[in-house]
Amino acid sequence: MLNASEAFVDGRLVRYGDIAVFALLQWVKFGMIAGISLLVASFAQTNLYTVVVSFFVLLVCQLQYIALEAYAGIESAFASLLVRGLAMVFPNFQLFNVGDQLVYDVETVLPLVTVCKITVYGLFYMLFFLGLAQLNFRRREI
Amino acid sequence: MDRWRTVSSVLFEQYLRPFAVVMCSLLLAGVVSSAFIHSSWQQVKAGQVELSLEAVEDTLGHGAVIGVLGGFRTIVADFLWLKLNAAWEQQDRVELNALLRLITTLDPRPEFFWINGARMISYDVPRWRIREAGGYDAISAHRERAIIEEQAEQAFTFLEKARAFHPENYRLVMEVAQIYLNRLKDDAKAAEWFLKASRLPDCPYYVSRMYAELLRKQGKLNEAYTYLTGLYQSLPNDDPYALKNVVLERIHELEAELSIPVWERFMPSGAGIL
Repeated sequence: MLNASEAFVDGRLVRYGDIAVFALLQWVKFGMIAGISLLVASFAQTNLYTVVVSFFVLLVCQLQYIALEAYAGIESAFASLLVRGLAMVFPNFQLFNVGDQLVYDVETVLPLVTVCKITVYGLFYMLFFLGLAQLNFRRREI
Repeated sequence: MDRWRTVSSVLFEQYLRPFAVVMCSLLLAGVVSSAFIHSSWQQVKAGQVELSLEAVEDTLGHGAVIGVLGGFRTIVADFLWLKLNAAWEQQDRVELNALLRLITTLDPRPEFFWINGARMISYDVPRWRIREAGGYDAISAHRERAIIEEQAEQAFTFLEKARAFHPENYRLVMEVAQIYLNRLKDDAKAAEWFLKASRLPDCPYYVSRMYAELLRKQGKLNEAYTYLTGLYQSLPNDDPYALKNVVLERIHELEAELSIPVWERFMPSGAGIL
């Protein structure tokens, strides 16, 4: 077998400080998921519905960038607009999957500005979902 | 009529309007935030391994969806590699193939996965298959050869996929050459691939010498001689790994084999005529 030290000769050094940054980003992402769940709950009639729909929204948010890229070359203007609109509706969770770049890949270190922007993006959506959920809950009595 | 009007009014007030408000708000938020995050997304995307819908489908079937969704695909791939080793020990080729595909989809960056995967496919799996068929004594030489060729072909396809991710990696090209040489005993094809590897960046000097030796082995002495003389001139003088003296020795051996007259023999630059 190929020697592991040869295979990873370019280094896969763990940068422990960045694990904390990654953890912060994950907390922001969890905050967004919590916001989404509360928003769904503000409409939902049952607990199960909230859990299932929130999970599917999480999946859509996580994978929307793939769909967007897959339909990038779509010819129909209407369909393209529709896909773009749908992609705009859901936040992009893939932005938070920077664990590999932060912790391992020393060649392409993420700039601090990018990390800050992702955090702001997450906080914005978190507050936005919480605001919408709060607005809906105010209108609900049962 | 009034009842219908009341029902539609309730539907609109309770469901449609809040839904429309939420969707419009989300769309507005999306337009604003995407403009804000666009450059950051490009940076994040550039550093990530591309993931297709097909790859997501693959991972869904193997319980690795958390790894894909969570972002630590590298770690998931590493753990799956450990699982693959268990499948390898148990000689479970179906599981081995599925895991190799999954691992290299999740993290195609380490050449370790590709090279060792190709070796498992081409060297180990044929033995398992022959054993399953009753052993070396039970099957015909023709059947044995067919199994070896089939597995080698699978390994070549696997390495071709690897080269799409690592086009300049000489080890992957060399691996193809080694399979031709050691598994299929096809010197001509092996030589062809060693030559391809030797032209890639950072390729060690010995790959060129292997190519020349394979030419010799095939009886292509003139071709080997021409290649080695060209190689000698291109090798650096100050690098001990270049082993210029060994190349020169082989040139002289070939000159003797080809019965080249003394006055026409290769004279390295810098060496005077006695």
